[in-house]
Amino acid sequence: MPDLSTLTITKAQTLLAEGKTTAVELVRAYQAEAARRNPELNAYLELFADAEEQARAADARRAAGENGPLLGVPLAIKDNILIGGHVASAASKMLEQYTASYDATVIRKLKDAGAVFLGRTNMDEFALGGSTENSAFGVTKNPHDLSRVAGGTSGGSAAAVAANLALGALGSDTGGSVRNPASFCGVVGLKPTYGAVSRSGVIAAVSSFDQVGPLAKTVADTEILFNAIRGLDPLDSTSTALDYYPARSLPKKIGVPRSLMAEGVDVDVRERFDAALNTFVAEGYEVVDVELPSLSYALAAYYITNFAEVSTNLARFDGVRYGLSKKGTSQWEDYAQSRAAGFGPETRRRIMLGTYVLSAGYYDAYYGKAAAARARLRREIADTLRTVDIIATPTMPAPAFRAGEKSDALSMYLADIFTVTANLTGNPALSVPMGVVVRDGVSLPVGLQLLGAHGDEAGLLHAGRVFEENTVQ
Amino acid sequence: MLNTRGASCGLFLYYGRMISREEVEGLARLARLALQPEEVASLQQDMESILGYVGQLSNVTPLAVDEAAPVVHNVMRADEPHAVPEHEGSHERILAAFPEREGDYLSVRTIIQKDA
Repeated sequence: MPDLSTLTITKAQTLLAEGKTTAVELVRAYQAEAARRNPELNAYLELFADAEEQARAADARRAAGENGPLLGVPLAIKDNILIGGHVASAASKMLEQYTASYDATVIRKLKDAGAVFLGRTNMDEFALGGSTENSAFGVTKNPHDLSRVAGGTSGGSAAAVAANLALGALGSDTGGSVRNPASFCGVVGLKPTYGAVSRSGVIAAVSSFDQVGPLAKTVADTEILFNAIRGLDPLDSTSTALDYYPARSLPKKIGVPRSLMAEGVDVDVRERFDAALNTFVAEGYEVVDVELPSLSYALAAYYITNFAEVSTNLARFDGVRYGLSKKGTSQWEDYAQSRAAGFGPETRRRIMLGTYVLSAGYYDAYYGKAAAARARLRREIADTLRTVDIIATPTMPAPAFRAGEKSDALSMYLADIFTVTANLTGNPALSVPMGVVVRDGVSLPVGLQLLGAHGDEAGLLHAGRVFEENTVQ
Repeated sequence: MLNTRGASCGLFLYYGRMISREEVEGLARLARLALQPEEVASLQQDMESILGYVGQLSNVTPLAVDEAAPVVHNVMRADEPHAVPEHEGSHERILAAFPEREGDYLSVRTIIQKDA
């Protein structure tokens, strides 16, 4: 059995094709590792009992002559992506016993490719948070330092990959929720262009922003996962075809919004970032400063839109047709008790804020202004990407913080400063590890974020690979 | 049509204002959330500080109409009933998820009262 710590999807593909291992052997190795480490990490909320059966089916397909990059590869799936017949709880008491009635399209595509689902991973409840501390079922610990968070909201998925409890994972990204934990856990994470990946069967948080994204150890692995899940889906009218955006030539020029990083970024994170830029320069890239004045409004525009759309999307959870169902003395009380019992504090807070910003008299002042700020930002980013190919920043201003450290909601929101832009504008963004910084004697990973033009995942992945090949981790 | 500048001055008052207990309770009624009394107080505080932060958007002026929205197009399609492989088995699973069930019916509280 190969050493899990050096195994990648790409390597596993070769070993499986050469008959040096089997899907069953792989799944047993990952299940054993998960049994050993998941109790302390809490990356998985559930390990699927049928994983070995899935692996046997993959081996049978291979014996019958099939061979594909994901055939027999064990993956971890975020708890907000529906796998028919399995619980999908969005890490909430509201859906603690909800059995998914159908497969998400991304799940169907991965099943067609022969991937094996090891289990469902922990997240912030309903994808609301930045650290997985808002899960109703406990926080996920960072494999690099158990006193620190794995990040969020896809904390379980990132921790599973980083701790060798899966070869790859799916997460979802609404304001950075794939890239934040990727940065904190030292793995690669991609938020695709809005529309690139179908959301049919994905529990909605913010319909203007959500995208399912892959997490993996390497850029090449991330690309394999992305190619498997992307594409136009008749079941998701917001999805787009592969050739929806015009192709671009390979990236050569990187823009850096230095004024955004003038304060609030840890000194050693800035040092890793500057070193990362030097790596690109050494590989023939040009690096220039860019000005994006509307970035100063990005967080506010993001959170207003988030609150508003979350309050709308979570209105469906009312205890009537599925989920937690409490009875009061009236119809309103049935709803109100179910929702109060099912939703955690952050979820309730956001529903209240969203109800406020959407209410008559405030709609223009908040949601209307947020839409105006988004339009400005979209135009600025589009203009900038006419002169550069990629906009680079650190993914997060600091490494993983200690569990409990960010106890007030606003301080949690402010950490999203670099990630929300890509969600506001729909641009794709990739986080790749760019080394470590030391806190209290422990090395913690930090990520580099590359934001590209709509549809230019190829450019981002190419630049990511160039960086990966020329960086010592 | 509101003059933008005048509206901004008026709207600034909204961003700075306190949120009353009554407002929080009213929003909870709209949002169908049963709040504990101590939760009302902490929500007042949280909402004031968060809304105070996001309220900086009062300074944003919208783009002119011709610079603003990206072109959107209609993606509506005809409703064509057909089998969807990933939805196989979903009907029974949906019924099984009903909190209260009578055969294939979802049991709910009586809402519409018939006149005598």
